Amino acid sequence: MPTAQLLSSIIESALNQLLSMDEASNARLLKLEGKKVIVDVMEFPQALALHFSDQVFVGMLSRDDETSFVKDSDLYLKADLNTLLELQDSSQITRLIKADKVQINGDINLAQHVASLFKDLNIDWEQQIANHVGDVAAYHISSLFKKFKSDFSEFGQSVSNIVKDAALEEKKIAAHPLLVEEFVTQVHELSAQTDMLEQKINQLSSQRKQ
Amino acid sequence: MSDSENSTTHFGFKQVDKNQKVNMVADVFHSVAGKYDLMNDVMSLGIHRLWKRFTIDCSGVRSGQRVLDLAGGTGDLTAKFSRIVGKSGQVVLSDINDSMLKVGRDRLRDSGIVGNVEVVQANAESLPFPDNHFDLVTIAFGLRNVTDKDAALRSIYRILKPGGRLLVLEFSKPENENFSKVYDWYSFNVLPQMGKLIANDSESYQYLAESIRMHPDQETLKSMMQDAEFDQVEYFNLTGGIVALHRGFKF
Repeated sequence: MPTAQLLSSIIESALNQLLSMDEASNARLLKLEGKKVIVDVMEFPQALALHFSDQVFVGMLSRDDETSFVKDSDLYLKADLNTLLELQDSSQITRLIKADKVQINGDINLAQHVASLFKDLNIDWEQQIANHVGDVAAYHISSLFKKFKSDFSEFGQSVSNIVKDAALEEKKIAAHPLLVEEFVTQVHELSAQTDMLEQKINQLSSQRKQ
Repeated sequence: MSDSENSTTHFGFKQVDKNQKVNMVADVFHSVAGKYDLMNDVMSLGIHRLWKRFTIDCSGVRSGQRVLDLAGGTGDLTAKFSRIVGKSGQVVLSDINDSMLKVGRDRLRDSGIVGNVEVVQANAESLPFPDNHFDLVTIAFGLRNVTDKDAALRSIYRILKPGGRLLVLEFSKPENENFSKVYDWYSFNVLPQMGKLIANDSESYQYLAESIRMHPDQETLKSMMQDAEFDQVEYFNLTGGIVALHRGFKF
């Protein structure tokens, strides 16, 4: 069983399904038409090839053919997974290249177009669900999900507050921000007084020599 | 492999006149064309789609290239290549059998793929294309049925551009003896019955099982490609060697 190809066919199917749920994808795909992007994530056993047309074709490439990756693509990216996630912020690209954390060969604008293809996806999930279960059921499911999301967010905030209070007031394993600020002010005052004392000592020393 | 000293060759386990083989193979494919894709999915449990994906992954195909899908029959590889090579590229779907080509043409039209695909009926032993014409030639599960495989390999070499490559996806010899026994049992006992049930044709699937056993093994096909002047020939075994992908370049 060619497992890598099974994985790429699942990824391809999922990506094309997601793209088909947002009509604006067609315009974004048009900017990438005919392009081939090879993404080599170091943690993965093989490199990914993305061929763009009215759909995305996902291929798996053996690193035995690595020497041809640059020549065989419009954009070649090689990085570890963390760096790849950082690359979503285009202002980080230069820093990451200089730090040798990413190798990029080819048209860098393509990277931004590829990122925007998926980041800018705007799927009307309620409409998608409605296509299967009808408008009324979809509305109720959607409302339920929104409530769950809001409740979960509140719960998360509440847990965060409890942990903070416990650390500051009960267990005293963290210092209160106001106490830290007062401490820093005292340290600055002490430093200034020490500087003044040092100057006075130097002055007295030079007077004595005379 | 054919016997060059007399005019007979193999058709499955039978020996037949060389001139007859091409018509006998034609009869098989006229018969199976209508249910070909369904039978492929049933017999291989859908795995043939992954073997073909592996072929595309090894092809290095790019937008704007010219690809020949030889013995491409019902066009499943052509459909994928068509999207990848795009408007500036071209895919030629070629097969010796017009029933298979008809299924392929209809399938491609139904998928909305027409613009960059040309359909040509041709014999792999004497391809009607100019020298140095294609970036890539693929032949998936077709070389086994060609009477003179050496002539086909030479013909493919001629029409490839310098730097171009040939990919041969074909049934081959399993690597493990025990697995081979299970595979033999499956091929000779299950496949013809499936053929009878689904396509009402057990004989064609008997031929399938027999023709696989008559096809050259991995190393022999590699030598044949080298004899046809292909460079850097190597092969990749898939699913325990049931299928092998051979790749060679023209430099």
